[in-house]
Amino acid sequence: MYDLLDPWTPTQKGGELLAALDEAPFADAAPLADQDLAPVVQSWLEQESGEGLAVRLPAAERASTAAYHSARATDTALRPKLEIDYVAPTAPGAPQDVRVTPGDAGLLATWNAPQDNGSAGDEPQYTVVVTKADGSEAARVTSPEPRAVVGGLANGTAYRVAVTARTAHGTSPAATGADAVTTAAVPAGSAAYREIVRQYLDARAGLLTGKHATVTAALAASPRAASFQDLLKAQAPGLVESREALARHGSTYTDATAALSDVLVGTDDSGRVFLRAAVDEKAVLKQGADDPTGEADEGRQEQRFTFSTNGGAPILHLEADAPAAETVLTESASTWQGLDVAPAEGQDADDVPDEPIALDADGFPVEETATVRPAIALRAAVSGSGTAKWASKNIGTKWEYGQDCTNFVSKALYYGGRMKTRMGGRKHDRAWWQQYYLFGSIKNKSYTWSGTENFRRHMTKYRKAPSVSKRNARPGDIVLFKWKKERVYNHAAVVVGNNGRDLQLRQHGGVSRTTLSAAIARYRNKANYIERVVILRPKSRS
Amino acid sequence: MRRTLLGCALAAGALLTVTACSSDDGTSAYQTDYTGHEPLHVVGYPSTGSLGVVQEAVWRLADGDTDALADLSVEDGPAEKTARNWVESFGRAAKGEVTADFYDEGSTRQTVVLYFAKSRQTKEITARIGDDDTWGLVLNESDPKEASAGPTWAPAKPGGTGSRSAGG
Repeated sequence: MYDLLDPWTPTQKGGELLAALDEAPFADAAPLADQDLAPVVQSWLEQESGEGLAVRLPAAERASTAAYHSARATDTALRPKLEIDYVAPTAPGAPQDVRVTPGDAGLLATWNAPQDNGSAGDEPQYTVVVTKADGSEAARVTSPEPRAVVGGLANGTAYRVAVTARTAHGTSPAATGADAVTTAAVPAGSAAYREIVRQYLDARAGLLTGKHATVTAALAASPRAASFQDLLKAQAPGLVESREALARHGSTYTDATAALSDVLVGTDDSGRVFLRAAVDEKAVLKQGADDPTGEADEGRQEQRFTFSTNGGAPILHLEADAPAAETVLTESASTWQGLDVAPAEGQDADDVPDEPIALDADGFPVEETATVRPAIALRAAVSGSGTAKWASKNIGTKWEYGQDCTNFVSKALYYGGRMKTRMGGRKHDRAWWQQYYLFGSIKNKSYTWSGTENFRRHMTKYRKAPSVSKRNARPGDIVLFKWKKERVYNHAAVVVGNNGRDLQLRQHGGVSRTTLSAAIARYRNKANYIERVVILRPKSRS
Repeated sequence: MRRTLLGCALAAGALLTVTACSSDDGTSAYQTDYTGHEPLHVVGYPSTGSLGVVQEAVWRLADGDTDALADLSVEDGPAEKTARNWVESFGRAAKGEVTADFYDEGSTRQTVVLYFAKSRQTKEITARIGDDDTWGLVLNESDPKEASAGPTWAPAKPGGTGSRSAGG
């Protein structure tokens, strides 16, 4: 059974049909009655295109005939049937483990997702309602994440928090924090702590860009340096080394800034002052004199800064990832994603030949000369720009697996690039498909959809995807990474830009928006470094 | 509100010292392990997954339980041989104070450096999430010399470089 790639008209002859078929059958030879057409129909709905199916007898049986029956067949038993089971949609369950931390004129609420999202395939939106002791509402915020900072509250006031989850199918019962919390100002006021963090982030950015050549210079330029000098001194060698490594490759960071939002300052259970904020860091990576504009490198992270006091002066001594530090596991194991993907046992990357790009002694991609010819123009039916746009726009889409990199890449190729699915056994490298049941609450995907090594095998063996050089990489290409101590490729990312010196990547796993050089640099000098990088160009017809 | 000890430990921040949490049968194995070993001192940016598996790895090292350590392997490879090498090199020191420095971020994988106070040894390991969505370790050091070597790039003290990789 073949997917038709081009529209078909009644005036066309049977011989022309062969030219309109996808290069590989959608489904293996099997009795028609056993074919499950749900995945291909689903792909037509999702990709908003579908030219139909063609059925071809296996080569050995071309002399025989095939018959099908329409809805008008005289024998009613032969007529095709459509059976529909209706499942009533349900609202999500209540959020779990609501915890509330008071601060200066605000509070932080964190919780865990409901065990049951009801009929929704997507994560719920949350509504946080803050009430005073008399039951009156003091604030209401919504959040797509299982946490929220609520500001604008009065100090010295007791507040309670209730959280509900909402999807298109309804709203959950409210979950409440165990006790009321009382907001309180911090010694010396929040502004002082905010200023220390701001100066610390500026000093760090200055070391990375070269605005400050040394940590001594960075500290001298900061009036509140005494409050963060130890933390900055500890980080300075790494920042300077990073700047120098980039400089060796003709790259420099410029215009580095850090902005704080959703700031909450408070006192933790140990009596230490903390500042929690969303930190938006931006920088431009310029690669040589011929790159006047550079590439934007940006990231947003919720950080928690903790202060100690030394004779009264606040000392910033710890910076931590806020959601990780605030996570409380639900007692049920259901917070962990189900076991859904496992690669075939005994795989080795060398089983299927690869053509990795060349890496230099520093572990970075070798600079190629401009005389390298572009890759041969291929009759690509996968839209590279579509893949890249989808990946950029949907970088925040929900993770469906603990290791979601290849699932993200496959969704970008499928929804954005319009790459056609391939039927086949779930574990077979020939297949590439996904199915959702019951409003997305149950998912089923081929191993090649979500496992990096399976995906690489599928693209290399069954789609003949060529490897391209770094210089010739373009938006929509897929970068695969193999670490030294691991037997197979274990990470995939989408190329969304190539300025000739570096590739802009979008990925699920690690920093969402990054570059090829930055991804490699993170593991440089490590025992388990990135030893091979391959860039594949998806296509669906050769 | 009930919660697991690991959850409390994470909520408590970097120093995993927890006394005020209740528990149930589901966490008894964890409690037994936790109370049976030195609390792990943590620096850097762990995720719940990376922290859990590194904590367990240090316990298995301290127990000298090579089979259980090898079971943490996230993929095919010389896990048993590597586990034996690690226990031989670090098992004794793992019974004392250990600090784990978690680098960069731990959404799907993380470089972690263990500092063994007793022997002043260091050891770099990779924690990562496997294809079955459970966290494990990369155990691929069948050469005893490689298995016992400390990282040349890591700072002398945990957190000495802010738990961030150069350029990362």
